[in-house]
Amino acid sequence: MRALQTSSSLFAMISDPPSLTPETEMDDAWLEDPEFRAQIAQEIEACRVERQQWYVHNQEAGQLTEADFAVRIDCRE
Amino acid sequence: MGNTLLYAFDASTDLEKLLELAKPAFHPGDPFRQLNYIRSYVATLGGKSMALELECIDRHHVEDHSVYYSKSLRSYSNTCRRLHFFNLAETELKVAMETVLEKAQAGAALYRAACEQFSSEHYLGFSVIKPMHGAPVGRTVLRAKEGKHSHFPGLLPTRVHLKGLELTVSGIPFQQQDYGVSACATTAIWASLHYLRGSENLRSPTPVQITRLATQSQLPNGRAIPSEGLSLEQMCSSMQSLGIAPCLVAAKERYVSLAVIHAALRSRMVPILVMQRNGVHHAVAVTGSRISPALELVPKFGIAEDASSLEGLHLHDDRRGPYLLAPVDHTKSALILQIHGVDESNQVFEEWTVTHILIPTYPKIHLSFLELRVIGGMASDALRAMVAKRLGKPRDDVTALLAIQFLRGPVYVESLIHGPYRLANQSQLDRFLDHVVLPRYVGVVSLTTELTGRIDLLLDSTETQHNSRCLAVVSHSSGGLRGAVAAKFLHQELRANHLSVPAEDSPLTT
Repeated sequence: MRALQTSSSLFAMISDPPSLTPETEMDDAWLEDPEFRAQIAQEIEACRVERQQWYVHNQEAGQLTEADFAVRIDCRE
Repeated sequence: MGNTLLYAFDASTDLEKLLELAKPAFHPGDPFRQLNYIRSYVATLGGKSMALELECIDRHHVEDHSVYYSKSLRSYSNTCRRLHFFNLAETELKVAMETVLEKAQAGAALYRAACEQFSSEHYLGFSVIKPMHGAPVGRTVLRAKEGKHSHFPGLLPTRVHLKGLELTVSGIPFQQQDYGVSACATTAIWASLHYLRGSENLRSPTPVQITRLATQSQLPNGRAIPSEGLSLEQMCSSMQSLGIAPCLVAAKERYVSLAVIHAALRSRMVPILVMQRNGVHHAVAVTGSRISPALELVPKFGIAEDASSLEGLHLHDDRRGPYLLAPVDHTKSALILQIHGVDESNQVFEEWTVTHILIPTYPKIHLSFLELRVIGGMASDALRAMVAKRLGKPRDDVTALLAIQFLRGPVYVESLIHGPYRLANQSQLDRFLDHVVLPRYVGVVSLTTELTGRIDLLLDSTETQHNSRCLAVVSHSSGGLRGAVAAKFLHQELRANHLSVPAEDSPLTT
């Protein structure tokens, strides 16, 4: 797993949100382009498949059995 | 002798002696461990003096007394003593208290203001001392040591009265288990439910109420009182009986567990951890977190969660004391906390493996933390894919920082009005207030990338993941077209009700 190179800048964004300069390279005309949207849809699906393990671990945390509910909590130190 | 005595205080003050406590003959451990922890903790807060109230009524003890202690042959008193701690020397404290009373005589508003100011500057909190030598520490509310890296979102103000002054301390209540009406499970629930007192105006239940509700329909572990401990099912039952939804998660993977715990803390809740060591299960309340900027945010397939930078959790451990820092072992796949051994020196840790996370939740929050995290993951994928495709970057080069939380609707709206994530201008705020109807609690998914700034997705918490509804997409980027375009994309992709972007006259505005 590649460590996030920009972790410090992400941290900074949490406490001090950046004021982004306007960028013309991302206008919104493409939002109405069906072909481009289809390409993005494929990219999204690829992201989800690639990250399947992340979803599986999340799902497993929600799977509880009867044994979980029977755990006795009684620490008496 | 009056009802209140003042004493000098420091780390060497012998509270056992001062309170004339004596260990019961057959007590198996150290009944004053928690009292001594409190002494050390208050010393680190800068405590220099204390006031001892010789007689006070504590609702939580009175109810325990009426159900349990009144049945004993020994005549336990229904009154307690109470220690108050201050960061002023004894002589300065006397003068300061007199000064507050003098100022306060000018009217009710001045009285409150003077008491508030005195409390915020000098009051460190209180500890009720129950009339039981085997478990003397009752309801204790002390200041938390907040700092740049330690956060305690669930703190609530508690008001008490001393010599005519109304004293306020923000904290989370702690008490030691008494082996009679409450074991660790009851005590952890008792501390955890405290947060609902603030957000839902609920009267916090007493330990004996919790134990009774937990044991009213099932007794898998034997008698209810003296407490033989509770099962997880009983813990859930007691919450359900109080009208609170028990949100239970199995702690199988460290990073999922930390994400859930951090989300609950961020939501100003107090999650309960069930932990296991040598076959024994123990319950503690999580009161805060400590973040380490030195820990790298390691993304999992393009998503980074700030929970992975948690250095430790602050716990109320009824075996030890309040706000105890338990470091997280980041080398293991399970969530393992290192807790100072109660019978060891501070350098020796016990390792406890967290097995379950139990979060008392307002019942109308139908969406679970895990579901909100999945929604966050799916939205992150969409945002990353869009940014990567649009800018022609490889997917791996685009990382989204994901943070989830449940917030009361008005609390979220307030964050749009002031603070670091306030909306860019009045017109954006007006449009949001005019068009967005929020439920009592809103699920907030915050996605941040370096290219788009922060974008919030507001989820209707009264729905589930399978019937989810995105109420609004909010771009916080001030003047950034990238953030606005990305927000518009997510607005379309998630079929959200409202789009909130900074530019009033921009064609992006809907």
